[in-house]
Amino acid sequence: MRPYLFGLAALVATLFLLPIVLGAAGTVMPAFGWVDSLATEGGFEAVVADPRFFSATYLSLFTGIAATVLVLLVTLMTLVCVHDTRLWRFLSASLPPILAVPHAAIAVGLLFLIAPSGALVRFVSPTLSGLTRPPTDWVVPDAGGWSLIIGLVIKETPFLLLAAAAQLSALNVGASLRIGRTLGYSPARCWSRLILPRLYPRIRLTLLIILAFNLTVVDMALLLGPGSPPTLSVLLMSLVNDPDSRGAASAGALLLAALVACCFFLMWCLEHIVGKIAAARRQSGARGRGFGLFRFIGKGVVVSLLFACIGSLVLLLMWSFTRRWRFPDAIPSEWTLNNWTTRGDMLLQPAWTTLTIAVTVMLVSLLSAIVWLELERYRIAPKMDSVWFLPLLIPQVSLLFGWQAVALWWGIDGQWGTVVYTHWLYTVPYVVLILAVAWRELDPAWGHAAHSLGAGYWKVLWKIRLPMLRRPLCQAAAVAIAVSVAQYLPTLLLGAGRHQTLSTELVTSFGGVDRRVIAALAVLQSLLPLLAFVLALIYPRWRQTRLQRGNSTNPSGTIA
Amino acid sequence: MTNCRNILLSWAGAVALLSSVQAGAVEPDSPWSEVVAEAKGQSVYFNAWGGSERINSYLAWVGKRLSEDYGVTLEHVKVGDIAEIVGQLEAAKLVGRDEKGNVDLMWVNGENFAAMKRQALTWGAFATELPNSQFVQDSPSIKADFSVPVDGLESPWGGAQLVFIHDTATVAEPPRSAQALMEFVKGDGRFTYPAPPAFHGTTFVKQLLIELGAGSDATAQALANDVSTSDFESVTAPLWEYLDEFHPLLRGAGKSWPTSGEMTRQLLDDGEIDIALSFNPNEATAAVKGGQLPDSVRTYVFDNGTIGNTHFVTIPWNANAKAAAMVTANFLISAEAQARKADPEFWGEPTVLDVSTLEADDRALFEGIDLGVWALPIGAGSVLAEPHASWANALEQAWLERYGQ
Amino acid sequence: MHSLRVDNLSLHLPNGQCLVEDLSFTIEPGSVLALMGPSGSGKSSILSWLTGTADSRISAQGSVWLGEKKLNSLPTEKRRLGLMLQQDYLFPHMSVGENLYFGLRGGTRQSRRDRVRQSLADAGLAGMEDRDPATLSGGQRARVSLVRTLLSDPCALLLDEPFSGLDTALREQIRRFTWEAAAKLPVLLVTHDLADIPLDARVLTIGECNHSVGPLRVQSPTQAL
Repeated sequence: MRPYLFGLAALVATLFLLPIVLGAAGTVMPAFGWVDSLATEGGFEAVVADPRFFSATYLSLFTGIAATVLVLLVTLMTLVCVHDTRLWRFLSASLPPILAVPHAAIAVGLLFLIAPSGALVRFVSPTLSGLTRPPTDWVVPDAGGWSLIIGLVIKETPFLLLAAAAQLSALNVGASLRIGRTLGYSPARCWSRLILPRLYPRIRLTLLIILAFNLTVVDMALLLGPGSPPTLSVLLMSLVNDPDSRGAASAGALLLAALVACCFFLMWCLEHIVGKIAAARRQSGARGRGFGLFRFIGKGVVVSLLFACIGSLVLLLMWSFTRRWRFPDAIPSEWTLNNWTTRGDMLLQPAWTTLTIAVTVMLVSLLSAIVWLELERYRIAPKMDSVWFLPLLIPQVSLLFGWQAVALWWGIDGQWGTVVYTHWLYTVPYVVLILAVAWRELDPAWGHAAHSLGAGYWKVLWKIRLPMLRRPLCQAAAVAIAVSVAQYLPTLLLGAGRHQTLSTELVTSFGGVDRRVIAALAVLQSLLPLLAFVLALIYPRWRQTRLQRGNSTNPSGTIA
Repeated sequence: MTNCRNILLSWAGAVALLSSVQAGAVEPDSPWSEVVAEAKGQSVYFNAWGGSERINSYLAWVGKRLSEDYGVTLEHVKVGDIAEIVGQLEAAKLVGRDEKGNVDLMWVNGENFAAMKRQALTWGAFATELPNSQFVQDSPSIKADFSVPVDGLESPWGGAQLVFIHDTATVAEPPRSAQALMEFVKGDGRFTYPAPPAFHGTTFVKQLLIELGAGSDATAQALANDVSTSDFESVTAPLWEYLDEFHPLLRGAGKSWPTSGEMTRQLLDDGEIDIALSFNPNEATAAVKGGQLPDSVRTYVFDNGTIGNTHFVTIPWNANAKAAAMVTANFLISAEAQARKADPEFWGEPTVLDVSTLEADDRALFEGIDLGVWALPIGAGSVLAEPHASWANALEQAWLERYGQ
Repeated sequence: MHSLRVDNLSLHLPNGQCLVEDLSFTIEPGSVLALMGPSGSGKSSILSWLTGTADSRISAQGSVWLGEKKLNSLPTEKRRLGLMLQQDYLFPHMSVGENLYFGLRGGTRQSRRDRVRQSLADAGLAGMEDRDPATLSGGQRARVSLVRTLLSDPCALLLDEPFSGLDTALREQIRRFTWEAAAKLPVLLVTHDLADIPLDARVLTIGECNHSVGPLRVQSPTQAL
């Protein structure tokens, strides 16, 4: 039996590592011109010679780093200013659903919100602003990349905040604050000196993932980023499908990966410098002054972020039921159901493709994660938490260009299975890491107890372990669906245009298609993961209440 | 015994059927009945720009009709830029993937067709073999695509002309020449155009090039031929001079651009700009009826005319379902499909058919179409010929070098 | 040094249950008041209220004074009430020395260093400045924690079962160290171990809100003698 199990573990690991290794190779080889059929030599020269290369690189660096720094600052500010208030409870409840909304949908909603003719200006016009036509002082997306930065901050801050909130219980925040304050330090200083230095190492990996994402994102950069020049990853996307410039695209993807690595190094250096400064300041004994204004600003930032998020989603919903909504009306002048009913062909088919892919990916991810964690429990598979993060740390562009080349070579591009496989690669890390915590915490004694009652392995797994882990399993399933629904690049590159999901449909047709239908698409794209989250929340509770009701309705009289 | 024989016979029949399916690959000049017979049950992967939901809906209707009449399943593969598909075909050619290709039918014209023809990525002269091709107009832009001879390698699908849409409520008298447009943005006129290589942007730049070089025979001569045979710098010098002055006055100050012509229409409705670009003389009608533009918009062209061209569909050499692709291409130029396409209710694009050659019933289909006051009035402006296909790429590169970084 | 005074303190849980009713006491500098009572009787809540970190859902009336200064409206960090809990809460990301520097108020760099060294030596921990708190024994940790609190110059000391985490042999040693170090401060000690209470301390027992003479009995062992 054991050799088979080792084989099973090896299979899962191979399936996971295969696209990573081959994808890297498939990017490296054409970049250096080692594969004649894919690309000739001179990829690096060609990409560097592109007139847009340096400005695109600068833009990627600027938007990626600025967005990451802001995400970190806003997260820390939120913790310091909002933790343990009523707003915090609301925030913690709203984080998972906000996280579930796909990037593209948020980006589109944000465009509707902050454009010169967007809802923000509409709400104050013409009564407050005196404007009867949209202002010309700014445009969205802007050439400086600020729209993209705002979008990234809105989407990534909840991610980091959730990661941080999950760590707080281990840090004894309440006691640290109490001790720090009785020693005479203001709450802000207690956070910066006592809690943040211990929190940071625990969210570092999440921050790295966010940094890598911000530097290399494609879908949001297409929607919110400047067009000419675009960010580096978008520029590379425009090169990859041209066989004459595949070498250049691959070389550019390698340079992008190197850029990300440099930024990781930069972050490591900054960490040390800030750490040194902070350690010195901790010893100075300076107590710090009031906190009121800072807290006010912090709460303001949090509330605006929440508002932007929820506002974007509401706008999507409003536009999807709009017939006419001209500037400067605050609300649509004519409503209609047509965007939903008459464009069914445009909505249903991608929605169905998205749903089938997402559900399959979710099931396969859960299955493979369960297999792996069970094998890990029996010491057959090694613990490799950091390996699971690999796909999230390597730029998608750098990995998928190569993986697409390999798929083309094998002739498996454009196949449904290939798309699902590639989605799985990006979903399974989250699923494994969510389940790993619960899996390792679950007391093996439950299993032992069941075994002693005569239950075999499968019965214990099916009747004891999995049901006891219902809650994390449901959460992992919801996350898997959310991750799959949001995937843009894997679907686009590996689907060869044959599998139109809501994500690819939304991004490729944005700008060309009626805004109201775009809104309907985005609503649909947000709805799927939100529904998954609601189900994940309700189902375990429903099971619980059913169990309890079973208790109370049990007619005690019959026993007596 | 008879049982055995029956079984044998049916086996032989099955084998014959099987081999006929395998050998059944039609040729461009196969009899039409054979083509239709083989097409039945096939799926056509039609790679076409998917950026307009009206076009997508139209193609959904085409798919429905094809499956009703011919048992052909149409799969619309929505493409952002068809040049990418040309690139994929080039890659397939390189690795020798000569059959079972991903693309059965694709929507092309201009430089993409030129590239495909140059590299023999097209299948053959199927277009002139289509039964409905007899009704197609006999016009230069259908025989030569951006001055590249078509030779039956692609079948015409629709005509188009660069037009401008303005809102009479904000701009009563729109600028009707390149110079007037410059004066317009120097005032407080709001204008922008999609950044090349977006199709509308490239066409607008070509329009400016033609108009600014008007009167010069050298320019006209240069534009009609391959760009490599002319002095690009001197021909385009007036264009860059114009754009250098023009760009800072645009929405986004020449740093931020819309990505498509459709987006300029959206910006017009929002009031962020005053004039939108379209390549469809009837787009405004459709947009007004669909609630996407106010009632007060009108369509116009420059006094000296604007660029117009024809777009086509073609079948790649390695297409998997060539018969069904031919059936689709033939249906696209049927009177029924073209009339629906010309109706602003559905798409609203000028037909490639010579309506006068049609049967009375079919002609009535076209005569019943109401273009509305919002569309370009018929005969409003002359159509200028596209420059040679090679110019598009050269202009795009030069534009990107100057303004794209 | 000032005395720590509490006037007419009443604490009620959100469900209306009374924890403390109309409690008043004064602790003079250098004296200890021991607060005793069963679990859940509100001892820790009184301490939290004194430091201003009580759960906002507990309703409280009454005032707390340091000499002539009313503390009620001051934020925790301005009250100058040193707090020691059962767990020592030495910050794990700082060395022993850094923990002490964190507690120490003001002074020049040189004077700060001297003071930390001196207090470590006084606590019998000379030379341990750079040690990781995790490598200290329980008794050493307790002393570092107390020294850290005292270095912040508190005007009164609040101790919430500070000795209960230590083993018996250490307990006596730490108690002695504490009473010596806190000799000049008013000290409020929460405990349920009579042995923790110094001989000259007064004992205040709380519980059962509606006791006829109020919720507490104040008695001094010395007076009783």
